[in-house]
Amino acid sequence: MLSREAALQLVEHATSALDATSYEIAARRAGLPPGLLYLIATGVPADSSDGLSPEDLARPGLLGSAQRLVLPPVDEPDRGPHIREFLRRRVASGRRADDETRGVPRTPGG
Amino acid sequence: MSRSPLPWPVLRQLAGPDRLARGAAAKSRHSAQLSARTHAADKVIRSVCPYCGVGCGQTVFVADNKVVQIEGDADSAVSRGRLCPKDSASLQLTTGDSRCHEVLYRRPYGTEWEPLDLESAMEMIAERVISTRAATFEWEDEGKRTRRTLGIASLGGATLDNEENYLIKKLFTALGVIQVENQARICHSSTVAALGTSFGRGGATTCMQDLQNADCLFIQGSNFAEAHPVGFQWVMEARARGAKVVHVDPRFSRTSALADLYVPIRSGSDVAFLGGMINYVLEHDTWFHDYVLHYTNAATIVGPDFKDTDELNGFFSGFDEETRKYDLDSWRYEGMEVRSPSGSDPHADDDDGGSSVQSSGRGEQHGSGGPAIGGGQPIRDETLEHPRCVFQLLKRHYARYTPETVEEICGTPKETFLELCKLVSECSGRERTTAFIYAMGWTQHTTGVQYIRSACVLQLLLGNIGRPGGGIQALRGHASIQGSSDIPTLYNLLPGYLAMPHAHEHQDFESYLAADRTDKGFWANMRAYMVSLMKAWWGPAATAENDFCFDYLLRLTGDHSTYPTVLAQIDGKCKGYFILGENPAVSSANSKLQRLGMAALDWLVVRDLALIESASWWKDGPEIETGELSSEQIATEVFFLPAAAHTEKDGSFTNTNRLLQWHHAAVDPEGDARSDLWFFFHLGRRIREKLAASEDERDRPLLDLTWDYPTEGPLDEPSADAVLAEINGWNDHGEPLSGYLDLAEDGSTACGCWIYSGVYAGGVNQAARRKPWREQNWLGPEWGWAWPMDRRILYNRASADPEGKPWSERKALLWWDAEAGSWTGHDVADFVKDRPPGYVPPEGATGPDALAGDDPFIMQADGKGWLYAPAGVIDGPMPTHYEPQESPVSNLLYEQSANPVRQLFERPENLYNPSSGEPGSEVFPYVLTTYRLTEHFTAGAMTRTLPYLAELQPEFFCEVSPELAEERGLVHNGWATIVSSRTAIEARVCVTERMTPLRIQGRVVHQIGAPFHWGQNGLTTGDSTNDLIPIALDPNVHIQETKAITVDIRPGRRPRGPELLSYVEEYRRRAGIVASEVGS
Repeated sequence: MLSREAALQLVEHATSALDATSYEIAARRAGLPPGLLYLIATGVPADSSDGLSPEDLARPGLLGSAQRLVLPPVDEPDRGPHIREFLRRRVASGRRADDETRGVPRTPGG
Repeated sequence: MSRSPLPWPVLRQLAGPDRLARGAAAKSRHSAQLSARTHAADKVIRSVCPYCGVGCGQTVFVADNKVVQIEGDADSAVSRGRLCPKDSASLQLTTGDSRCHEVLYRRPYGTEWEPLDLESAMEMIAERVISTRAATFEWEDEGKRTRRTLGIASLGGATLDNEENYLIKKLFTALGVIQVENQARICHSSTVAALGTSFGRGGATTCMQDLQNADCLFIQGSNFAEAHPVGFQWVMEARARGAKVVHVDPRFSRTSALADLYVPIRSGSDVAFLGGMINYVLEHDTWFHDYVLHYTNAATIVGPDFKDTDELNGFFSGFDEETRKYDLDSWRYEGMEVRSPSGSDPHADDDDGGSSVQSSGRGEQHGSGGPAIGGGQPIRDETLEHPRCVFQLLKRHYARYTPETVEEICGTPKETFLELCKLVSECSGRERTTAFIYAMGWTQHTTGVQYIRSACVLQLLLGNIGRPGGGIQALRGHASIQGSSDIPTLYNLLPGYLAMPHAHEHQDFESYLAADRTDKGFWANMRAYMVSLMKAWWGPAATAENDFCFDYLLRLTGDHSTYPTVLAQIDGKCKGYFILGENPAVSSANSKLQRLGMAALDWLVVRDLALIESASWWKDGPEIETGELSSEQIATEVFFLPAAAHTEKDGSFTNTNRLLQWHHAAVDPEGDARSDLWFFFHLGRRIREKLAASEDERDRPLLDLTWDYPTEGPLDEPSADAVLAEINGWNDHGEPLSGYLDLAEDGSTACGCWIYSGVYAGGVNQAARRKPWREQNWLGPEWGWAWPMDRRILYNRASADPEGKPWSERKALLWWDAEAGSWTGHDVADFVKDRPPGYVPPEGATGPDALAGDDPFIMQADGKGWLYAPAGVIDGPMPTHYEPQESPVSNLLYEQSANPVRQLFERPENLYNPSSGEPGSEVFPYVLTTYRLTEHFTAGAMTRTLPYLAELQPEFFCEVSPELAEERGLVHNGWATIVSSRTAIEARVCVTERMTPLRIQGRVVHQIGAPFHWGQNGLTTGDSTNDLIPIALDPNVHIQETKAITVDIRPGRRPRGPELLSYVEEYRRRAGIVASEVGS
C-alpha cells in the first residue's frame, strides 16, 4: 500500500500543474484507480461525499473538483452547431418572407 | 476475495491471515457481495433536483440506458454535493413503480379508466381544443376588443422547464387562451409585486451562497431548515462564522432549534411585528443615514392629498366604498403629472374599466420594471424634515407600532421583541449586514404583498439591499417556480414581466407602452423588449406596419387567475382544462371547489408522473364518499397523459437565486411518457395542420406563429436548446444576443424573454456551465447563468457609497475603478458599467441616460428603493396591520379589521367563518396555519408515491400545544377532527410544546399547525388541509390566505359519508352561517 507521502510525490511528478490529469497519470503508474490514489493522497474521497472543514481545504494535493476521478464519463452534448443552423434558418425564412412582401424576386436556390 | 469457510466471524478472523480484521476478515458474506449502485454505470449526466427551489446539483448514473442512481453533484456552487431526503429519493421518483407510462382515458359518465393510444389521445385533445375554442371565442367584451377564449384554461408550470413554460405560453396566447396559471399564483405572486414595486425586480435580491456573509439571518415565515434543508447549509455556514440566527414563527421547528433566538408570533400578525421593527429603527436612530438619503425615496415629497390610515381609521385616502377599491392618485409624489396614455380608454381609471384594470394583477407586472410614476421630476427635501417627505410620513405611520402594541397584536413578549430589534440593528450598517429570508408564511395572506413590502422597507432603512450578506431571499418551493414567473404561465404576464395587454387600457401598441413604460432607467426601453418578443413569436409576420402583431395578443378584462377560473368552471363558462404537473385537488385553497369545477368541465387533460388526485377525483375523490358527486353522473371526459421525468428531457430550471441551471436528458422516457415540450410542440403542430386552410382572422396568430423547432431522436423530441436560443434572442445576422442591451426597437432583433437574454450568449448554453464551486468565488459566477445579465446580487451598486467606494472593506462587493473608468468587483455590475458615481444626468435625459451615478435601483422610475410606494400596490403605499379574513382577535389599531380591498368570493361553496366581534366567531376559536415537511413536497404527488418518503413521513397529522390538548381533550397519537365552515378533516394528533399558546389582548390564543401534503392517493393517504381553507385573496396578485384561518378542533375521527355534510352544517348553523343566503 502506498503511503500518503508517496502518493503525493507520484502525483507531483506526473504533470507540471496539479489537476485531475495528474492523478490519472499517477494512478496508471501506481496501478491504482485514480479515485483511490486521490483518497490516499488527500484523505478526502474524490466524490466529495464527505464534508470539508476549512482546515481540510488546505490539505496538499486537494483539487477544486475531483469527481471526474471516480465518475464514469460525463455525457454533456454540445448542441451549438445544431442551434446555429436553426438560427440561420429562422433568419433566412424571415428574410424570404420580407422579400416576398416587398416583391423582391427570389434568387435561385434561395 | 478469498474467504474462510468458517462461518463464525471471530473464528474466521483468528484463523485467517487478517487477524486484526483490518481488511478481508471484516467483511461478511453479504457485504462481500455488495457493490455500489454506480459500479456498472457507463455514463453520468449532470442534472438538477426537480423538487424545491434550491436547485441542488445531481449526478445521474446511467447503465444500459437505464438510470441506476442519482447522487449529489459535489461541484455545485449551490448545493456542494448535498441532497435532502426528497432529492435522495429522486431515483424512486424517476424509476419507481408509481410512475405511469400509459395514456388513460375516462369517457363521460365512465366509472373506470380505459387504455388509449397516445396518437388517438393527441388527436382527440387537438380536436377538443379546436372545437371548444371555436364555440367560446370572444372578439369583444363590453365593446372592447379581447380576441380570446374563456372556454379553456391551463394550470401548472412551476415543476416544468423554462422551455416548456415558454412553449405553453406561446401556444396558448396564439390560441387566445387567457386563463393560463401556475403554482406561482398560489405560492409567490405576492413576492413579485412587493419586491418589484420596492426595488424594480420581483426576484430574490441575493443568492443563497451569499447568506454565509451575513452577520445576522432574520428568518420569518419560513421553516428554512426543514423546507429547504440543503439551502440552509449557507445559514449554518454564516453561523459558523459567528453570525446570529433569528427565527420568528408560530411554531418552534428545527429552524428555531438552530437559531440563536426563537421568537413566537401569532400567524397573520407579521405586518404589526415588522412595523414594530420599523418603528424601533426609526425611534432608536439605527437607520443607515447615508444609504437611506442617497438610495431610497425617503426625501421625496408626497402630494398634499394623501391621508394616512390614522386619519381615516384604517383606510388610506382614495378609498371608494362602493367599488371597495382605492383610487391611487392621492398617493402620488408631489408635482408628478398623471399621464393619460394616448389611445387608452379615457374612463379606464374611474369606471368599471378602472376596476378591471386594477384587479388584473398589475402588481405582478413589476417583476422586472418598477411602476410608472407619471411625468416630471420628483421633488426632494434632502433634510428629511418636510412634513410630507416619505421619511416623515413613515415615522408618523409607524409611531403606533410600539413594542407594547406588538405584544398585544402578535403575542410576542416585549422583551424578546426588543432583543430581536437590537440584534438586527446592531448587525446592520456600514460594517455589518443582515439578510431577511422568508417563504409562504409571508406570501399567503390577504395582505401578503404588504408583508413583504414591510421587509423591503426595513431592509432599505437598515441599508442591507445590494450588499454582501444582506438582501431579501424569497425561498421558492418549486424547481422552476421562479422560471415559470419569468417566462410566465400566468394570465397577466408576458415573458420578462411585460404586461398582458388590458382591453380598456391597452387598445394599441402606443397606449400599451405609454401606460407602463417609465421615463427613466432600463424599463424605459420596454418597446425594444416587446417588439423583440413579438418578432420571436410571429417572425416575418410581425412588421413595423402592423405594430409587430400587437393585435394578435389577447386582452384582459379583469381577474382571470386560477380561483375565478375555477368558479367559471362551476358556472359552466370554462369547459376545457389542462393540468400540468400541479395537483389543485389537494394544493389549492378550498380544494373541494377545484374538484367541483373539474366535475363541471367538458374535458380535462392531466399530465403528471403518477395518477394524482386531480386526475382521479371522479372515481375516488372526497365528494364521491359524501355522495355530493357520483361517477355515473359526471360528464367530464378525462385524459391522463404520463409525463417525462427531469432525467428524461433536456431543459433548464430557474432556482430561487434567479439562477438558470440546465439538466441534460439521461434516457428517453418509456411508453407513452413524454416531456411537456413534446406535448405542446406536437399539439400545436397538429392544431396548426388542422387549421392550415383557415382564413378566419381568429386563426392568424396561430398560423403565423413561429413553430419550426428542430426535433431529434426516436420520439421526435423538440430541441430544448433551440427553444432556449429563441428565449435568448438573435440579431438579423442570426447571431445569438449577448444580453438585453442588444435589443432593438425596429424589429431587427428577436427575443423570447428579454430578461433571459444572454443565457445563450456566444452560441453557448450558459445555463449548462458547471465550473466547480471551489474554483471560483462564493457567488459561483460560472455556475449556470442568473438573470439579469448574470448578476448574482441585485442592486449591487448600493454596496458602494455614493462616491463609489465600498461602505466598508469587510462588505466590499462592487466599486468604481476610476482608472479603468468602470465598475468592478466580485459580481457583474447591476448598473451602467461605465457610469461614474458623480454622474448627473443632463436635463431632459431619458431611459438609462437619466440614471444618476448614485441611482442603484436601475429598473425604478426614480432610481431609488421605495420606502413608500406611490404606485404599484393597490392596497396601500405603506404596509399597515390588518387582521386576516378570519381572526379570533379584533384589529387593535383600527375599526377596519381586515384589508378593506381584499378579494372575497361569497358563494355557498365558499363560506367564511365569522371573525372576532362578529356573532358566531366563538364557534371557530383557534388559528390554523399550514406548513411543509422535509419529506413531502407540496400536494404530495412527487413524494407520497415514493416508498422511502412515505415510510419516513407516513401519516397526516396536526400539531397542538399541551394546553390546547387539555382544553379540547386531544390525545397524543390519537385522532382529531378539525372543522371550518367549508368542511371537516381528520388528522393524527401530535401534542407538542413546539406550539406556543400566546396571550393576546387579555386572552390566550391557541394555534394549530398542519402540513398540507395529503390527499387520497399514494402510499400514504390522508385528508387535505386545503379543504378547510376559504378563497380569500390579496387584491394585488390574487394569492390566497392559507396561513391564518380559524377552525375548531375536537377529539376523534370525522364522520364518514353524508354525515360529514350534516356535521359541518351543524357548525355553520351554530356560527350563524346560512349557505343559501350567500350570493352565488
